[in-house]
Amino acid sequence: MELFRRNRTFILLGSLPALVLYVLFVIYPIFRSFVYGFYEWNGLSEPTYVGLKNFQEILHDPVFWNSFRNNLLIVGVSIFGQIPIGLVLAVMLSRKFPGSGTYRSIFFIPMVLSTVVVALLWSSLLNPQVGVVNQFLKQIGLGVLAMNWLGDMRTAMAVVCGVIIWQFSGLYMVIFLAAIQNIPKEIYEACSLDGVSERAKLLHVTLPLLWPTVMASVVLCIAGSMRSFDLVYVMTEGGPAHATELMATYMYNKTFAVYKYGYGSAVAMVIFLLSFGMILAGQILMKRKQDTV
Amino acid sequence: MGKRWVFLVLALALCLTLVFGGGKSEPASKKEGGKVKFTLWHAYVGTDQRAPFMEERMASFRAQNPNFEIEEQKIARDQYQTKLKTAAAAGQLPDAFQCWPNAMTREFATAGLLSEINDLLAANPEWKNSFVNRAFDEFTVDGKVYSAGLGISVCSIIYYNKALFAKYGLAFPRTYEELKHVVSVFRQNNIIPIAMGNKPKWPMQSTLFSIVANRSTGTEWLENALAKKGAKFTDPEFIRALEIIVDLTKMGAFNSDVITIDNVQMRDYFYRGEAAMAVEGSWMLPDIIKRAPESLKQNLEMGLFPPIPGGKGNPNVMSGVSGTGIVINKKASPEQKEAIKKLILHVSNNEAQLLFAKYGIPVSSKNITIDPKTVDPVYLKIVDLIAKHPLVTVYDSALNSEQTEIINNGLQALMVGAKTPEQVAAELQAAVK
Repeated sequence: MELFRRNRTFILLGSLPALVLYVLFVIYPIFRSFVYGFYEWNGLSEPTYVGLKNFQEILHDPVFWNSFRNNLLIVGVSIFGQIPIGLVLAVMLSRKFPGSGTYRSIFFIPMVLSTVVVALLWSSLLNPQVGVVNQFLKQIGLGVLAMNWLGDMRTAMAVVCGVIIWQFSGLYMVIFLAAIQNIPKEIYEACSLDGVSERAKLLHVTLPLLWPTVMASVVLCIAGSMRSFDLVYVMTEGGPAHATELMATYMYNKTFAVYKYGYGSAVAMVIFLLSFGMILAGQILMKRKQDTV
Repeated sequence: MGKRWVFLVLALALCLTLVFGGGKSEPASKKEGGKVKFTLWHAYVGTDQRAPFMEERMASFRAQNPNFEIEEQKIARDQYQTKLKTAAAAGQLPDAFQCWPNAMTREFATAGLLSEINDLLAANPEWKNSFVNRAFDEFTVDGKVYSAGLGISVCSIIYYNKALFAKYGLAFPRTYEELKHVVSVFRQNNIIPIAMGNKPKWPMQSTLFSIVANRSTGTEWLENALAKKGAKFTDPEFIRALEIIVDLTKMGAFNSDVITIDNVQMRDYFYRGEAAMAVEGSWMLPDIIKRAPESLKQNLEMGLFPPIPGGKGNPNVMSGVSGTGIVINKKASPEQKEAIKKLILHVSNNEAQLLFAKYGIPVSSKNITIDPKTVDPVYLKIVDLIAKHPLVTVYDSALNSEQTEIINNGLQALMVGAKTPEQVAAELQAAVK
């Protein structure tokens, strides 16, 4: 703080160019797009002011609410799927045993792959005509379970969720591994001297000390899930019949497939408000939990 | 003292950023020392059927016109329209660009973004009269012509493997009942009856539904429905067309992954002989010539969707549109406009049309006699098809982008049973204004 006070002018001035660029290319366009939300605009003709019409239309569009539900589903499976799996993997692999490094790499590989690769990989594995998954099921006599995974409205979203868990669990594993390694060895040593069981060590030392990291991960999860786009766009393009539509793909389609720029901007604003509200709610909930720990 | 220096340098840097960053860049397309510069955007690149044609034609255009400096941007098809419309929204359209006929030309022209080429037509009567009507008609808005179509695209062709038909003692279906029979026989023998890839959502509408609907409703009905003149999308004849798509899907006429693969991936089933038919536009032809095995090429035939019982459409027509064309930005300077008009002539004159034939694209000129020795035999089949069957419009060309999205998604919903034909029809009717 002292450092800041002494060099205040210099620091402010030094950050000014970055600030100017940020405002010009990030903040200004965001607000500009909010403004377009109140217009009807196809990108070619002049925009016409329509007030709240776009927002009313969004709130009455079942496809939008369906995409919102899908986003919530992804938030849910991310928080209750990725984080627990990541945590379990991290606790197991934090022990030193032969091959633990190999396992870490294996679980982290999906994270290194580009989402497009992941999407194409799973699309071809799950293809009902030539895919490996259905052929395997038929080989082992479970042919009844073979289905049109991505082409059936009932299974498409579940498959997408599964792939998302597969893709990102490794990331949370690495985050938690790093956090576990930051827990001072002395605490564990003291526990050993007191004859504390491994189970108690895990429940009363490791997990409480990991809690702040879990909190940060939940926020990451929510923010990441609310803006997920690429995986679904490549795997299903929101289909079949909007079954896997997400808010971001909905916005993209309205803006760049139907060319309703005003409507798309309004959708963007609604997404912003919803995501912001969820992150806020998440943080408040987690704070309360932390106080009780 | 040192601090003050740093302050000065930073302040100066900041000023420079603001001055140069904020200032408008000079339009790159001005006359410079007798040279005419212009920008050109198009999607004739990569796997696009017109990519080799355009490359060859641009090279000769540059060679013949050394005083033109063309800044050419080739953008893949999927991103092209997005990029172009974003540029239009920002008021930064290139001087010349590729435009789709009908709906897109209408949208751009009514927004006042295009410059007409009527004088070019008047000055070159011979060139003008060589074209089939739709090459200009589909680029005409309120009597103003904006471009000339580069070839023709037939949107709905049933490509079939006659060896597979012969193997199971079948003939190409002439009626809808026969089609159903053919489908069930192939199904029983584990052959995909019709290969189709509808993940991008437009193929079903463009390559199959448009012609099925025409068979059922006739051509004028669509114009009337869109103009709200005594026809509605909720009419039984339109619903009948939607029902046929449901029927075909339920019968198992398509590959089981029809919803999860695209129209390029599905071709492999056909090329490998695992599918008896493939429904695609004429844009599949260059790919067949290039990639299909010789055994398939020898057995390749083309046919049309059969008439449907009680249908009001002429069973002899097939759906198709003019190819895309190059249009001129209204804001281009007079010199640039002259240069671009020269380019439009260059990519659509007789010499260019012969190149179309060479690369397997149906020509848009009446004057071209195709020498059977210089083109692929597969191409001759499509020439024959076009000569025998008049073209009618395709849905995504007649409908605006919002209506197109409704029918595209609606067809997908029908195929997975999420909506009934009546629901899709009602949604589409609601979007007619």
